[in-house]
Amino acid sequence: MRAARRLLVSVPGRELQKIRLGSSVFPAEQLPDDGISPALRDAVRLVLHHSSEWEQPALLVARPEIFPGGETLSWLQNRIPGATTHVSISDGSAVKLIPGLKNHVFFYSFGNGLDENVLKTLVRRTSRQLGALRSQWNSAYALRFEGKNVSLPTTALAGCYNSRAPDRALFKLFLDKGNIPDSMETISTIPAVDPARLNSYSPITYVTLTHSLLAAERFRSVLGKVILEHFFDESSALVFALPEADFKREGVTPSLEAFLAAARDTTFPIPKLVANNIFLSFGELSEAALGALDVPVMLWSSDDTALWRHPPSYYERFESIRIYFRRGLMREKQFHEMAAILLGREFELRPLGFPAASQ
Amino acid sequence: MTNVKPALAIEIGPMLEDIWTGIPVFTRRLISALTQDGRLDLRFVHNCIEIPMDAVRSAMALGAGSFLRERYEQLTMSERRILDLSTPVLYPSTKSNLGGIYAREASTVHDLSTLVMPENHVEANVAYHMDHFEDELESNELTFAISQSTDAALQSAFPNTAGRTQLLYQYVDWPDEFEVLDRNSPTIDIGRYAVVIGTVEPRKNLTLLIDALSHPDIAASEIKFVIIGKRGWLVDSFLQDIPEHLRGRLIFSGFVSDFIKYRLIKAAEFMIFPSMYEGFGIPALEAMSLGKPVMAAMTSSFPEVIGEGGIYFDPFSVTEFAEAFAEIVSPGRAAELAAKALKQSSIFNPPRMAAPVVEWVCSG
Repeated sequence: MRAARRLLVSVPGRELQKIRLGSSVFPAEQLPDDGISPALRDAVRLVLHHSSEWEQPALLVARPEIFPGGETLSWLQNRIPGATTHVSISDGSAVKLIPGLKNHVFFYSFGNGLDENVLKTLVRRTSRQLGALRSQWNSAYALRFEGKNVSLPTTALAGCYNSRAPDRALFKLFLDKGNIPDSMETISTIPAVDPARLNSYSPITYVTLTHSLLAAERFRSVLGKVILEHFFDESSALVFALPEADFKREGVTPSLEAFLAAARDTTFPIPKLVANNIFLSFGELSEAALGALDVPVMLWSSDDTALWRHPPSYYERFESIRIYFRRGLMREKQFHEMAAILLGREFELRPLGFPAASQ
Repeated sequence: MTNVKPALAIEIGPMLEDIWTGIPVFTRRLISALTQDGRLDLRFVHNCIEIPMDAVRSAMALGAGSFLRERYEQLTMSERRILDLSTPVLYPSTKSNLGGIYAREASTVHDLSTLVMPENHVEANVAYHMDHFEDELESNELTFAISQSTDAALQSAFPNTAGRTQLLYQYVDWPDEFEVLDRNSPTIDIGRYAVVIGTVEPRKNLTLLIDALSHPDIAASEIKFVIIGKRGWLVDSFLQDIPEHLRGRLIFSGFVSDFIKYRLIKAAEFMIFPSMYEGFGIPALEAMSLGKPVMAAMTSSFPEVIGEGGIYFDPFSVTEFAEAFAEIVSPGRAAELAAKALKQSSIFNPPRMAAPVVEWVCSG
């Protein structure tokens, strides 16, 4: 009798360092939430959801790299009957392959400039290994291989759960271009605002930021312009969701600092005033906060945002969606097709152009 | 007619280290094996300069590289000879340059942990090993891998090496005098114990043993665990979670000389090697050469090195660890495994190490 088909899942070794596992192979739903990053937790949940739809129960292989061949690989194969496909959920520092299986990669933690640089380094070091992959899940990176950009096909897996963003207060923007530390201090001392207050503005532009986007020179002009426009139109509101803390950047300070530095570096003047209609949120707004808004909300996001962390139903609420696209890293057409599936609706893809040579 | 032996130069960079462990010892074994084989005209080179044979032989007798390094640095200009570029050159480890200097080059890959387990290394170390690795492989006529496991990992990450790799198995060469010295030394009086390899790095997986101490079968046993190597911070944090009386079952030796290591292994009942990843795992072979079976994690190179001379367990499973422990301490099974361990260790010998190198040199 043939064994039921199974999907194998592996995760970065650094995510397992705080966890005690009982076995090299176990049902993926048994991966404990505590000790792993929220982004990995969401990625595993997404994979579990789709593996269930495909009727391929997911098994987690803790360290596929320790079974490279010979008897160790046979030992592993005996414990994974029916497995034909493996997805390496990767932070970009390593991509794991299991010999004999169809291997895919899911870059789950991007949106952090560091991770993209890590991936570029990995591609430079082992481009041929990545050439053995069948597809990339929920990304559209162009991989440089033997002197040319090679497109690894994209498998788009629409989100199925909303990321568990907690309720967050909003902070008003204040920027003294000449003094970032003082600006941060001022922001922290101004009383925080309840997100429900946003209903007194219309429309609302809700901008989800990533470290990579903030580091993109071409985005800084967009940032400066939209901030300045809102200083002159107090009927509308601008809400920036700052990048979440992660393994490499603990706490909220690095996110705020990166945001203020990006806004400082625009050519647009920013009045040295507390903005009453420009707000900062340390992470995305909660589902409850967004659901409570009954005014038009426009979403601005970017190509490195984990769009898969929300289901298409989440995106229905927005009046419009604009995705900023950083040229050079991803394939535009491939990204567009993927985003259409993840968002489940029409959206505007706005290229940011190539970075300046000095960048 | 004189029968001219084909020449081979060994890049002896690793032997310039003060203290020889790991790759310098591997290099010493390689030179010894090729010397015993006798079919090649051996030369030694570092950074393109030929190193006098007597300097290398002296360092091998001493087992340390400080005098060799001094000799290399003090070579006068008239003594410095550039190695003939047509001489085949074998690097016992990764190349310290991009390669492609000599007409025929081969280098040796010990493991790919910097590539497959980057979280266990600092980035500078990963960069040192990986930044030019693809170029290094390209410049090789042949790449030696120290185990099938390393070869498989290599070919998975760099598929273009397929058909251009060869195994280079090392062996154990305890000094002859150790046996006599041990016989004339006081008995190690700590009761029944197993030697354990690995403490400092997370990939050495000592935490599995610490977790297993609380397992009823292991807690009830009288076996102690002598851990060879430094006690890492990770170990300290895990030790806090286990009862005081179980903590006393662990004895940390710290860094020990080869002779003390020999004595500790010889007096042990068996070896435990819980590491998650090894390029070869020479301590397992050292134990087997002294008739000690090995309880090892089912990972990387262990099955090909240990063969039937040991028992395996899932590196994450306390249950499987305890089952393997129960098997290895049972008297009948222990004796059976000891005999197999000794036999298995004998298949790793100098002629086997020399053969693929000689074959490569003579194929050109």
